[in-house]
Amino acid sequence: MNQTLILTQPAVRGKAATFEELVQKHYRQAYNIAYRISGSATDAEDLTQEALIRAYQSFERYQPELPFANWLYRIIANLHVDELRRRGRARVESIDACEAFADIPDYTSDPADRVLSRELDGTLQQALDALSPDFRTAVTLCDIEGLSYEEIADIMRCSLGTVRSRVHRGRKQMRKLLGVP
Amino acid sequence: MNCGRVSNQLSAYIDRELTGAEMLTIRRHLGDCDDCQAEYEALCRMKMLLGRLQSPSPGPDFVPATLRRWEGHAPAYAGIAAGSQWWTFLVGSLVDAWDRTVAIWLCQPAWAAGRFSLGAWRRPVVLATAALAAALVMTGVMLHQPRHADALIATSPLAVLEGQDPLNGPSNSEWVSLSQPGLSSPLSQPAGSQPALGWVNVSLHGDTFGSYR
Repeated sequence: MNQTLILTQPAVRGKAATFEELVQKHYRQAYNIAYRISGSATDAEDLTQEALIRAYQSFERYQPELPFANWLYRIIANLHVDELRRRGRARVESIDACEAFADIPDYTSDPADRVLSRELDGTLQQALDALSPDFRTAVTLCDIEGLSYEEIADIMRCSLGTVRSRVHRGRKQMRKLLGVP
Repeated sequence: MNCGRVSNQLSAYIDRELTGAEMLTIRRHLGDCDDCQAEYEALCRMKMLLGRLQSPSPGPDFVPATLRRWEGHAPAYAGIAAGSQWWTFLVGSLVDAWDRTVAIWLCQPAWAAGRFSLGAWRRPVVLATAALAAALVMTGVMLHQPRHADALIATSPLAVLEGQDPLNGPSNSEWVSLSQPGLSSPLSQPAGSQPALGWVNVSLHGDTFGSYR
């Protein structure tokens, strides 16, 4: 498709410029969410791109009372669930099967250690991957993105009580996987 | 409050998602229960570890790739002459509307489930809509040209010369129309002509289209 032709048409140029602005503003945070809940860089890119496009195309459905980023996260979460259903498998693994987790060192003693940080990131991501999709999404939105329970409930379309339960059980499972004392 | 209930609320306590009274109750219990206090500290440590995760970054080509992918979802404007902007807008709008309609009302459930690929339908839908739009535009262009004298009178400033016998009047090139600048009177007659009674010629820029009595 002739990109130059598209971008020079006034009716379309406005749309392209607006979409690019949308992407530039939100892609990093959206990618972070997508990466944490999908566990894969490739899946995260695909998830983020598709979510951005759908958010732009379905903008008439956006409700202003919800922050746009949260609405975008909702789309990402829904797309991820749809993708899991399409693949016909869940990401839930038995906690007992996660034998690769070693006791993590006391991270707080040397927070500037980059090597330790990278290893820890990988270990934490493995533990996240072992959670069920709902627990993983709830923990990611709460502890990584810092959203409130009410915002998480809006994104995941569930009650506050359900959010509270998912966050708590997700953290407990990760603590057990990682052997956090 | 017993340890079971406190344990279930520890995460909400850490996140400050409880009422003031509940926060106070749990705080008091933690002061008295070492097991719950230990669990509280472990959950705090877990939250802290997750909060310090490095934010991953996508590849450097992510934004351009996203724009290219969006273009794949955008209406097919390719092939339309760049100079005909209104034409491009019309065709593009029709294609966009059709594409959205199919995607949203017919295909979204299956699309969301990943069982339907809109791409397989895109080409025939686009071509059919483009053909329809072209036919509509050409019809509109043709209809825009006035063919009937009544329409001609209604749409164009004309010189109507009363009393001029159309059969014996001056040559067409001597008629004038209101569209010519410098015309002071709505009626002008060719030099030296004597209009016959009862006839009115209708002409536009020197071409006579009909005579009326």
